[in-house]
Amino acid sequence: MSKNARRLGNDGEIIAEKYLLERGYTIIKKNYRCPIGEMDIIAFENNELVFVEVKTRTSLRYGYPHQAVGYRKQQRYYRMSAYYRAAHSQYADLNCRFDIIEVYLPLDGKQTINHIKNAFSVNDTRYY
Amino acid sequence: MFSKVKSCALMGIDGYTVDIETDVSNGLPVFDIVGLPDAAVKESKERVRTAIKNSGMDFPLKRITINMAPADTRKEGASYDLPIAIAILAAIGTVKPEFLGTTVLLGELSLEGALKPVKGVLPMVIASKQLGFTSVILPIGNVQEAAVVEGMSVYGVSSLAETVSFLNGELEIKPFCCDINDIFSRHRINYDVDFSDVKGQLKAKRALEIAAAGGHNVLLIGPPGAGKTMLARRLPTILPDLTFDEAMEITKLHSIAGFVDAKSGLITNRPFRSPHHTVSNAALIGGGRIPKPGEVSLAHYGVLFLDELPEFRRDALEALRQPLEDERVTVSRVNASISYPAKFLLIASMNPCPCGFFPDTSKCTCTPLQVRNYLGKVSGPLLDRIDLHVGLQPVSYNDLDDSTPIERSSDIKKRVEAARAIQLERYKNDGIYFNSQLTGSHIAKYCRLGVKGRRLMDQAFERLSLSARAYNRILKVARTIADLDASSDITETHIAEAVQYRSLDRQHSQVPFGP
Repeated sequence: MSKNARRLGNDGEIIAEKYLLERGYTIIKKNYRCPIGEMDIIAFENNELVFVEVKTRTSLRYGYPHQAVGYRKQQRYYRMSAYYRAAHSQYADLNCRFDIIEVYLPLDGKQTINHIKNAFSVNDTRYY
Repeated sequence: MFSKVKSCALMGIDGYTVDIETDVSNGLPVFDIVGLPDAAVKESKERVRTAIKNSGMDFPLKRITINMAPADTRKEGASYDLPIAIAILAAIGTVKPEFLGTTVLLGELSLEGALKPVKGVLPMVIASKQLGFTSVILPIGNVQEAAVVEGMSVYGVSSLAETVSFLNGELEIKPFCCDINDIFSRHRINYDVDFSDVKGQLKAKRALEIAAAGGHNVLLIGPPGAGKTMLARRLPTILPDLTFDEAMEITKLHSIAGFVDAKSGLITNRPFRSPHHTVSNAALIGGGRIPKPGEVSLAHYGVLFLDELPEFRRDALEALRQPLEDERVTVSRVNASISYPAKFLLIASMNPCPCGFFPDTSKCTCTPLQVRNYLGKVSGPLLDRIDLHVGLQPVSYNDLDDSTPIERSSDIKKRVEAARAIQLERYKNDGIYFNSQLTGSHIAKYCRLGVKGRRLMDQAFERLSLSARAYNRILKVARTIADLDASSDITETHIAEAVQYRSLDRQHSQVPFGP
């Protein structure tokens, strides 16, 4: 991953975090790492655990950001969420949700944020 | 966070309860259905989710587990959408659980939350009643069909939202009632065909009258254009009217196949099924992974018309032998072995040879071998089960030109009904309804012959080299002819007429006769 891409991703995550805080979410953890992978943001809202994947783009040349969250990534999120809940027993009995936050950062204009709540859910139970 | 909703499923023509148990708990948002759902039931997840959302209610972002008990029988079809949706809503407290214990729910959901009619409602409602339920909630399109079951409160609903407000007591729906006599009188079709349309062919008409009176099977053999199909199509017009019990049984079978008209709810006319000769074995007898009724069962208490009999596939025809004898078919598959009733009157038509004109040698171009092969397509055992073989002659010009009034179907029907009444009275303690159902012991009891009659039977048996079954069938036909005559004894006239309807036995035992 190039340096620029890393920086763009970080910028997006900071914007997304600010966005969530403004809307009353509590941020529990950023860039949670576990043996399965990494989750961008884990937040908390209305007694609900929200796992957020942030996708940042400067142009739509390669499609919408949410399209980049494919099946495998979704499956990985389930497994990571299960891992996280197993590791933090205080959250084990909460409802969970998977959100995607699209951050659009065109080189010339102003940023746009699109928050997709409950973007995907578990259909295939093989993975957890 | 647990709820239980009752629904119903079918095994053959009998229903059984299916418990939809639902647990909604915190955790990863998963929607799981267990209890051997088939593809249509699994897909109900998506319909239920969107229907709840589009009905203005919240779909819980929780871990939802649904079990369909009994867990060891396969659940199929879309009729579980409504119970699943209500079970989820009851588990999260949106629906009050008071009525759910005594109410059966059935219905398919559309994405907007509207309810669509489902198949097999009548047998399921009957089963629910037997199992002790008092009310049933189902799509408004199925209400007519379900309401014929007495003693059940049938509530028709048009959407999921309506069902929820009804269960919560916010909306009052009156149980749907129907007047069965009214259904019968309103939906009894007036046939647009009549026997008076058929000129000539008096012999064939007489044979069909006998067939209708005693429930005998008929084979019409004749050249093209003689009126075989025309006659066969008019057979239902002289059959006696359906009784309520018969109508219920027919409707059950048609309900399983999904053929019940939403307006009438009850099948009020004798079915007339005429499958094309390319019909497959499974479509004729019943079949499928989970067996569905075939044409023979859809013709239950009605007429099964096989036009151009030799053109049918041999295995399909041979498969008819068991239902013709037993009046029911048992279809066994890995998943289930199911028995459907199939008490039908078979009427078949065929040409006497490939070109169709035999024995008119001026027109027929077939060799004797061709004729024999053609007749041979219909096997002996099948012919044996057909009581009346009727040869038709081409209609003459005099018959066509004749303007004297011809007997109407209603007149023939009166005679048929009189003969049926005699039979019903005679067999009231035997559990059968008409002569073709007589078994060996019944024949000994009811078809006694006089000395002259026995002598005639003896001659016929030798001359036509009849089988034992053919012998019994002749006696049954003779009984019917006597009943049409309102005669308590079977005389030699009756036997003589019955014997001459076995003409194909003769042809089968030797090379076809000459012109």
